[in-house]
Amino acid sequence: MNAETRGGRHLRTLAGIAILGAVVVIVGLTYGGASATTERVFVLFAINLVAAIGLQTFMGTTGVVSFGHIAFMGIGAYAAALLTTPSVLKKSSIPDAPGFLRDADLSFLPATVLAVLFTCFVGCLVGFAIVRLSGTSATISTYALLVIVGIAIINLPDVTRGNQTFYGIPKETTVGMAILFAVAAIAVARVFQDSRVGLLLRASREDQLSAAGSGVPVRRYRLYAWVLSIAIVAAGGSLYAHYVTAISPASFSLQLTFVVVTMVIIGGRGTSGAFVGALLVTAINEIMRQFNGQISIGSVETEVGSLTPLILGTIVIAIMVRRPGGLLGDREIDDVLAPLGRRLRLRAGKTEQPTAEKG
Amino acid sequence: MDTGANVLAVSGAVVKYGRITALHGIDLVVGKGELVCLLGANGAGKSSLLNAVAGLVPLAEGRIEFSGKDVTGVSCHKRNHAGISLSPEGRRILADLTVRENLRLAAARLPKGDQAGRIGEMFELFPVLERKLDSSGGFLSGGEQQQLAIARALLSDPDLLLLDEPSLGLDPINTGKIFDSLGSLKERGLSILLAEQNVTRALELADRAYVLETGRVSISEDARNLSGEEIERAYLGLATTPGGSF
Amino acid sequence: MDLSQFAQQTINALSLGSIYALVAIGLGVVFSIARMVNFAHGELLTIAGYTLYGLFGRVPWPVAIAGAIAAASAAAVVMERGVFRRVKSADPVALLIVSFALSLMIQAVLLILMGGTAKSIDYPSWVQASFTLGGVNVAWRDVATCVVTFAVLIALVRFLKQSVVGLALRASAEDRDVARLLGVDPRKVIVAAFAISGALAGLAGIMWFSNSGTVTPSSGFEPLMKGFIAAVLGGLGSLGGAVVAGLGLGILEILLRNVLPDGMLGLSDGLVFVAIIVVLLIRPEGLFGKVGREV
Repeated sequence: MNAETRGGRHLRTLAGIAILGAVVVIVGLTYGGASATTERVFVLFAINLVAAIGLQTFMGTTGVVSFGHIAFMGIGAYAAALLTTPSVLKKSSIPDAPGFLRDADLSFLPATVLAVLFTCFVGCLVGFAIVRLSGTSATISTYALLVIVGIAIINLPDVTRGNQTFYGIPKETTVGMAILFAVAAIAVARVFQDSRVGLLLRASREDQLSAAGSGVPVRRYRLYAWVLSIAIVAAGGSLYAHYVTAISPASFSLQLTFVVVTMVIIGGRGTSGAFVGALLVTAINEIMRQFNGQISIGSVETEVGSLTPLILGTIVIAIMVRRPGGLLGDREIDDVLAPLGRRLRLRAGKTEQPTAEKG
Repeated sequence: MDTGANVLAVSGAVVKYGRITALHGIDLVVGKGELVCLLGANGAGKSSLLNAVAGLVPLAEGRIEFSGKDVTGVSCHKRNHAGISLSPEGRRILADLTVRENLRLAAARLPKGDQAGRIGEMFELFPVLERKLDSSGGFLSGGEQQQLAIARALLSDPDLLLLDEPSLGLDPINTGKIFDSLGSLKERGLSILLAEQNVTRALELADRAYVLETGRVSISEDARNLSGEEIERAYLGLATTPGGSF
Repeated sequence: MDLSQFAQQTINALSLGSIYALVAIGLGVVFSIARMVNFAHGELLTIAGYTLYGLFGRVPWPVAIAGAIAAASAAAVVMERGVFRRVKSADPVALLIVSFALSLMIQAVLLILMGGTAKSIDYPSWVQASFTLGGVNVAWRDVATCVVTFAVLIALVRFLKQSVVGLALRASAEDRDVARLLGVDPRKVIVAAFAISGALAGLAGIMWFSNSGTVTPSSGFEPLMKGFIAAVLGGLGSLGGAVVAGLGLGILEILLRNVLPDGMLGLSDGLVFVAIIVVLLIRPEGLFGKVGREV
């Protein structure tokens, strides 16, 4: 394998983003625009994709399995929803909320930005603790976060309506928005992954002691990964809230956590892995829906029917047994296609020497 | 020495830890009733070799034959059942268990009637153990722990005893006790493979010696024939002082 | 609250805490020996519950109880041999994920086989009966829970200290390589650990469901969480720690239930989870655990 120049690497990153982005755009415009049903499937896929990519941004670079990211998806969802839901509605649904929230009437994108910033702030606070842990301790702590946030949401009924559904969220998530968010997530995640911070984190993933010894500020970099991953997931939360128009704490549960974690585990540690995982799991979910014919309100993303967890669980176990790194492992879509591209260029007659690269 | 009389025959043993090769193809034999010592500096591969013979680490290449049978793929606990015992580097006493419990566990595979008798033999060899039966392993001194480690290894009535640096960290008196007990074990006909840094005392007892340097056998000799220079070479230029490790 | 009510609640607390302790010990045994957190442990309680549902009324109740314990123990062994053993990566997080997946899968299977409605378990009548002692109303099931747990703990300690299998388990928990050197078969030890954890879970399940009287596919989740909290706080490898933390958690729960107004109960749960993060940060081996034996 030849050493790549920096230019070559940047090109790879762009290629990776472009390929995945193109797939999203094409599928979105054709399939997603075809009918109401396909629109639903595509938007759900996009939401799943954003969540999975967010999670992967942390899991893939640090190697820590997080059960807590869905909590931040929930915070992002609620925060954005609080800002966009028409104040007329909020006066009756959350009459006791602080004035600035009750009267807020922002449009979708600014609200999402604010929600993401807020969620990142919260995430940063707990992130200081999380990045000091590793392995099972970290995973358990992230699960604790999931529980804590869930309890917090339930115990702030003045703002969140507690256990009850928070309704009236404007349906701003169109196919176009979904495509936008998905492509943005892919781009941001991939750029981070291939950045100096991202590469150093991944290198120190397996061997933290020697990485710390060689001067890599592992904890600080992990915090970056943590906050960025939360930002992406929070954006996904906002996207979700503005599609289903009604959310409750039950929407951001352990079941959903399992589904999203499954996507990352099945697909692999890179951005492309999360993409493949999200695609696969969404597809399985949809196929199972056809069989069962059940419709859930308010938990559209989660498994419908009892067979889905069985199938997903079996796949997860099979992956853990055979290919613990996931289907793609660390590879990206451009890694897979690169040798193909080289062969095509050679065949086209261009005298490219694979080993000679201009510096 | 014909293979029939060998209790242990290692050929072409290669041991790797990830990308690092610790042993580069070791050939070694231990005859029945022999005490063979393994000399060499830290990191030369003595522990890796003993661990490989005991079955704690797998061979990347090569063969291990025990009393004529190929045990290369046999798991560690089964090798213990077959008659190979290791007193590991650092003694690794089970600190949570008392001396009594350590011994009971080690003797567990013997027929019920023989256990008490065998443990009694250990008390003859290492009287201090009987006095400290109910002490936790973690509260024993270094010397006592080493004696316990050897007693543990002997309880299963092995045909081959492997010892990894028994005198490490012990003062001269305790070292003396250990080597005296090894002497009497040898007299009883036990085959012993002993890795040691205390060259002088090891060579006093040994029939033959191998010197390992960075994973290879550099010298294979009768113990009597080893010259001072060769011993020095074994430690890569560092001299040994009589009666102690350097 | 008067004295008799206080005594009443104390018995409740001890009874609840005993169940948590049993679950915590079960988790701890598997953690010490197989180096993994078994998220599917809760389903072992559920399986015990459904076994009781099927057996009570059809066979004498001691047989039903024995059957439930046996079923849970067998299920645990099947988990180990069928699934966990095959996960080659020794990475404990991989095993955690697999156990998590297994947990959801078992719940799904139970949902398909038994349906989602709560099944009522026909405990023998003496279980629900109570007697009065010095003005205090004591339920037999609480007495049974405490007494049986105490007896099981004593038996477990004796087993670990005196039997060869117990010694082998302790040795493997401390130093797996040395245990192998002494001729201990590591596979058998792991199976034994799972069998014991399953039996403890079965027992905990019998006691747990004697309180609620019904079982659903997801019943195992709550006791698992509680036991897990106790195990992490007390130290996953420490028997004593699990007992203390389990009892402590039971006492805390009953205390808060009586002291706090209804709306605040969730908050106490939240605080406990915050405590988990703090403990993991500061004392990863748990409050009573041994240094080095961390999650």
